Amino acid sequence: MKLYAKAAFLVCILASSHVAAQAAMPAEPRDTDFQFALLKYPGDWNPRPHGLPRLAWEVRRRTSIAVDLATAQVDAEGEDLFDFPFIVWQGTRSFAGLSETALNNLRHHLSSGGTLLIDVSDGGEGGGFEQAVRRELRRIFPDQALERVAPDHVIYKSFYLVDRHGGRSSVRPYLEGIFVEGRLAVIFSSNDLAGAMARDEYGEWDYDVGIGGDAVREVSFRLGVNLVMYALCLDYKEDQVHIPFILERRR
Amino acid sequence: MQETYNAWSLVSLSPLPLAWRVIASLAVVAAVAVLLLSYRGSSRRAWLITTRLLAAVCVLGVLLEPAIQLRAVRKIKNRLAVIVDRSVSMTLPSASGTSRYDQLLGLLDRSASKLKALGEQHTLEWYDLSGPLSDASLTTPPRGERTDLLGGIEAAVGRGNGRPLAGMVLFSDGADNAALEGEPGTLAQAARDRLGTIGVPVNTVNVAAGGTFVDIAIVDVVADEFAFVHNTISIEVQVEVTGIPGTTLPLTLKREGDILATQEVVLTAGKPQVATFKTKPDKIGEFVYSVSVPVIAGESVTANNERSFVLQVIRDKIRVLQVAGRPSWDERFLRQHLKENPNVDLISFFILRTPTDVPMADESEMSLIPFPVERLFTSELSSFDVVIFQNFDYRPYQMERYLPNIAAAVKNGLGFVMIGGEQSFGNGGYARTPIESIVPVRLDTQATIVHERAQAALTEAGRRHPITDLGRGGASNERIWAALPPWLSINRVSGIVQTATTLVTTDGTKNGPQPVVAVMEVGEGRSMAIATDAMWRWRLSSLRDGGSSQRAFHRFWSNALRWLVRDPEHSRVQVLPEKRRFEVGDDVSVSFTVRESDYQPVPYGDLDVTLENDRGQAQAERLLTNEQGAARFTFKNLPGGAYRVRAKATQQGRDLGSGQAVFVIESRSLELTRAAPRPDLLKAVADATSGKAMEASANIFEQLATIDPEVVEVDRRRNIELWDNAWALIALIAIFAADWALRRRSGYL
Repeated sequence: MKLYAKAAFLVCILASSHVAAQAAMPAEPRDTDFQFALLKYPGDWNPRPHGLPRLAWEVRRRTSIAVDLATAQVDAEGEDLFDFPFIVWQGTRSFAGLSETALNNLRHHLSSGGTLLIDVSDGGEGGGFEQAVRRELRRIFPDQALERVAPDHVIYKSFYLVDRHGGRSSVRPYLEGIFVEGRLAVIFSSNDLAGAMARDEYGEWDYDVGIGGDAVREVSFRLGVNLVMYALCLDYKEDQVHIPFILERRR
Repeated sequence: MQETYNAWSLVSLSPLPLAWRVIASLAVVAAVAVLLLSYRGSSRRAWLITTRLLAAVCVLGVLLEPAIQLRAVRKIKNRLAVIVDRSVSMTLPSASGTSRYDQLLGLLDRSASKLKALGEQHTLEWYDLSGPLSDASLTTPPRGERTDLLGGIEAAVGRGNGRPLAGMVLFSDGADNAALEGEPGTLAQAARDRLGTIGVPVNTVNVAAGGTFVDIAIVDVVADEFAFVHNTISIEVQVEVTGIPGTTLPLTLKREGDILATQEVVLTAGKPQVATFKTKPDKIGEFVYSVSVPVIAGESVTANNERSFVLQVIRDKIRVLQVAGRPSWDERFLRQHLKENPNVDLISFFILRTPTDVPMADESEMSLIPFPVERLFTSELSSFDVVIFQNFDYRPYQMERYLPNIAAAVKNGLGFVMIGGEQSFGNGGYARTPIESIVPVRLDTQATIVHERAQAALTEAGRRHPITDLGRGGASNERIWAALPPWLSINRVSGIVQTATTLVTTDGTKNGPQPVVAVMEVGEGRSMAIATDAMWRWRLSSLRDGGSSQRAFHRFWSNALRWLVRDPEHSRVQVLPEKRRFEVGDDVSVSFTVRESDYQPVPYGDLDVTLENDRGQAQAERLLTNEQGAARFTFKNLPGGAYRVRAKATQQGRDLGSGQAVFVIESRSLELTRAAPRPDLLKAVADATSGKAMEASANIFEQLATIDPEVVEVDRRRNIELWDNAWALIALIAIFAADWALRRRSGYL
């Protein structure tokens, strides 16, 4: 594992400038590749510009998923929202309510199979962004509330076997989510996941994650990979054929 | 002209109002009563009373002006409904050996004069259980397939344009198979209530009296029309015995002549016995199942000893193996559809990590499992109905030796789909492998992926093919295809193989139309190629199209799976009997349609049709399809039994496939299921309506309970005044004189 880690670190350094160069650039959607799409809204919508490109790069490096390293930007009011099944909503501050068109689009997107990752970037509990985004979620799904994702949910075993939650801060040691017909359509992290993964053009981490930093960052990447894998494979790892292997490894 | 009167009555012609006439009469009576009391001590009391009473009558005559009113009246005859049960059970033998119905006709024939006399009192109206009955139809054989005595009675009441009924005469064997009976031997409460509203007596005549009716009957079979292959089904059989105290008989379940199971049933008279068979269909298709009990000595009805039914055995679920070379949106949305489809049993294998990926973790920290190539593509391969290779390159997994297995399985009936992506088709290394022989498109070793916006366009074959029918066919389907979101990446292939059919191409691309969806028949199996990895865009489409694209995605894949597993509805040679169950004597019309692999009709194709029954009797016909690829044939005079009709289509020696279907021909089972005479029910009907229950005999017409006519119409009348003549005056004077003289002599004056 150590040998892999060292090699990966070198590759990371070499590749980071390319990754950063493509961060948050508008991109022509391609059907083939996985691509993060950052939700634009009137507010602080891209507080961690190096976070998602880094995660995209790690997903490409660690898994067989074909990934477009550029992070797309989408407006919830536009038709292009439906070109990107995986939407990320980040922020640090409160914002005004979304328009009805945006809410309807998001509701239809998520109900039709899309996935929304909400990453609270300010690293605090009950901050302006968190309150505002929870308010908007109530408008999108008036009949459903965020609920804690159970520790045995497939999202914690979709690629890595994960039992921690990573992130720059540790506001809530769990993920929350909204389920649509049994599928986790909205994933809510209060811990600034992207902050723990953000790395600049020169290979420097953007934010300190405190004691055990490397381990926290690795957990963040693993959880991030699992989120992507879950979005692309759903409950594949709960198919009967996988269960004996996973149980054996969790012993 | 001499006037004739046939009725008379005593009337009053007094102009006084009725009240005055009553008061005056009472006054006369009271006065006479007082006088009569005064005669108590007289020796001439009797004479005094007599003359006084006669005098009082005379006074009353003056007051009331009595007259005899002569009338000419005409009685309006009320109706007598004669209901004849003309159901099939009436064709069964009676005690005399002739049929129940012939016994009835003989009785009517012998009673012609009595019927004529009855007709002078009532208007005789003849009905069977379904409506009016003419003289001509009375003598034809009974064909009624149901006996609803109560319904027949009520229908007769409702006719006659409101004219009153004198009563009814019901000639029947009582073998009602509708709503008459409740608990065995008694009327149902609802039937009793309905009879209570009839308001006239119903006289019942049992025409099946005497003799012994012995019957073993399978009265009901409860089985689903559809069953899943390899799943246990229950078939409940209800058996009854009539005419003997009881017996034990073997009950046998067969599938088109092959015995599947036998069990002993202990039968007791009057107690229906239910036996249950559990069986597991092991083949997919339509089959005729039958249950039967042997015919016993002296049995009156043998047609109800066997019951047949058609069971359509379908696959329980379509077992799909989805192998994806990497996680992608195309894989994910297809998996989501297949998982949500209740008719699909999905096994997925996704390559989550390739040997060149760096997961930064030990195997123990990951949930990855080995790709069980050998197991999947040897022992387990036959358990799948459809295998999907989705953007999958087989080479890293040492699968070369298993590719022949896959190709052979497809030729033996497996469905195979290859879906695009940068690791698919030629890029997946399938050129010059056994897979090449089962894929509809040419596999170039230097295949390319084109990233450009491409709209889907149906080919001529695509407009007819069941896979691409996303709407209700025709213009609606074309509109749906035209409105679908464009694809942004296409696997460019150099064409399709000769035996394949292109259903969908790209439209509006720089390089001209490229095949995107193509299909091919491969021996017993079928295959499909989808040269794009962007089908998912239909599934995640905006609100703008109202969900049409999402529905298209579901329909496309549902259609594709059904076609791949040769769903009978997608068969190119369709054999369609008009219905699955016919009565003995019915004409059996069967239609055929023949289509090419692109579902274009085959005009003037040859059809070799074979009809075979469960006794091995066969009939062969040779038909020619018309311009629309259709043909029809009517089989006549087929005896009862289970039949399978097969059709093999060819055109100028070219095999176009075959199809088959089954049907059953049986006797009118409802009537013959419970055909025992039911005099108890007939008596109950008569009792409930104050009628008479009788057995067929010559004197029944004298015993009928009827209601007399109530309506009398007056045409002419004449009054003969009793008081306004000389004789009345003389009598008055004489009576008063006598009374006066007698009273004087008796000292009362």
